[in-house]
Amino acid sequence: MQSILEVRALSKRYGSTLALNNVDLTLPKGKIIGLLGPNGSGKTTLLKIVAGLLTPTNGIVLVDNQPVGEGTKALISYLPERTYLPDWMTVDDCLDYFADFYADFDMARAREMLTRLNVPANKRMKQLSKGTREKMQLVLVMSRRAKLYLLDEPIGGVDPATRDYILDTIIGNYDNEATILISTHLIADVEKVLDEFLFLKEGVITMHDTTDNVRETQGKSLDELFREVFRC
Amino acid sequence: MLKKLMKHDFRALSRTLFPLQIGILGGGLVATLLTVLTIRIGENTARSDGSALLRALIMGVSATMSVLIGIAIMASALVTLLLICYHFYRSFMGDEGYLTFTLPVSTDKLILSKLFTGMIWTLINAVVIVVTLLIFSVFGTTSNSIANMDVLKAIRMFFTDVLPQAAQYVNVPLMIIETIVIGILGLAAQMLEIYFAIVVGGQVAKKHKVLAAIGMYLLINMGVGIITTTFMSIVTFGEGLANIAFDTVQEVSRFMTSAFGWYGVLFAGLAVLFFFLIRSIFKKNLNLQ
Repeated sequence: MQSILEVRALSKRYGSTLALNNVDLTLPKGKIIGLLGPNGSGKTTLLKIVAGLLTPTNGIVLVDNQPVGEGTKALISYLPERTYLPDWMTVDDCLDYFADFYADFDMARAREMLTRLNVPANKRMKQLSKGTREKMQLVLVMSRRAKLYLLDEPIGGVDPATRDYILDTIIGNYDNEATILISTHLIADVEKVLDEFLFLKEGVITMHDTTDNVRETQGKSLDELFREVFRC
Repeated sequence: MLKKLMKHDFRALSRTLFPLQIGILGGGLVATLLTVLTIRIGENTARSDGSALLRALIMGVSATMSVLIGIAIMASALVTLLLICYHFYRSFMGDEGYLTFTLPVSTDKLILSKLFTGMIWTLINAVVIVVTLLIFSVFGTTSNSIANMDVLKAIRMFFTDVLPQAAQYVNVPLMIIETIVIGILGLAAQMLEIYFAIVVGGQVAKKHKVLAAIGMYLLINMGVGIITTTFMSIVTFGEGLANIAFDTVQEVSRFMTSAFGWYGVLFAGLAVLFFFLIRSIFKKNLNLQ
């Protein structure tokens, strides 16, 4: 099976803290993969390195066989855990911005999703609630026909109804050829949509398997396995 | 992609800078009108009752108004620069960096877009300031007619007498081109120096990044000062400029042409240096928190 992401001997150090420790990883195309681990395990660091926002201390990252750079940024659709759209931009400005820079941005799809969300096109970001801004970012990210989606805590800090909306949006809008890497610690909510999962603990990948295999061989849900592995 | 980046950067900056420039022009016009009114009313009153005190008072108000307009214009230039720098800071060092650095655009273009839009707005601000000062000088400094004919004559004289006279000794078009090129290079070097300070400040400090950037700027500026002094000293002695007696127009012209050229080289060198330093940090040491 062809891989979309290859990570070799990847380490990231912040001062004396080792956030990622010699990580090796290969992700296939066309899968939804959970990047699971407790807070501070290195999930965000890994996603930010792949997105090109952090420079690794050591190691190699290849996205579709290319080193991280201008070329890979055109293939990746990244949803960070924070809101990054400028306050002064209107919803329409944001759509224009994405359409200008991303050749794979599907404007019709974005408008359709925003209509369903009842977000007025002329509203500025500062006039939207935090939840709506997060949804807006998700709409922008999922309206691209990217090869690799990196979603950092897309359902963290939102109510259960919104969680369902977000997961439906993710599932309903991704291409079968694309891979989605979702970072979260809310396992029970995402478990049903995951093909594979990675457990990340203190910067080390401790497990990489399919969710079906866990259920079949261990007779446990992913949530149960997570609680067992990461028990304090 | 550079055009698209510049379009969005220009739009982002215009939100604050366009109203500011309108404010400068509007403020200049109001100040001009108030000054003219003060002068005219005062002079009429002074003439009718011959009060020297009143005349002095009017002169004082008029002078204060001129000083205030000068301060406001200086402040507007500073505010323009600060807003340009803040836009750079937000786009690269703030949360917006998550958007900027994930765009499928080369690092060079990201920096160039900020540089060009910053320079364009600085130049627009300079034009607005000159126009405002001209309006004030021509219309706000006379009580006899609508426009101050002395100022207009001086401007006309510059083009009809001074420039043709200067043309006998120097190549005027070349001097104008040289001045423009050096001005642009100097502006680019200065802007990239500030951007570099912001980037380094953002890299070294986890908190108080703005303060760190100001500190870095002061430090870098000291370094630039030393480089400039050393470079120009070497040039002055190397070119024999120190021996020029400055007693003929030709000698002054030779000094200026040579000094201008070397300043151009220096500014271009500094601009390239800061550009590549910023590029290197973004490409090899980017750590967006």
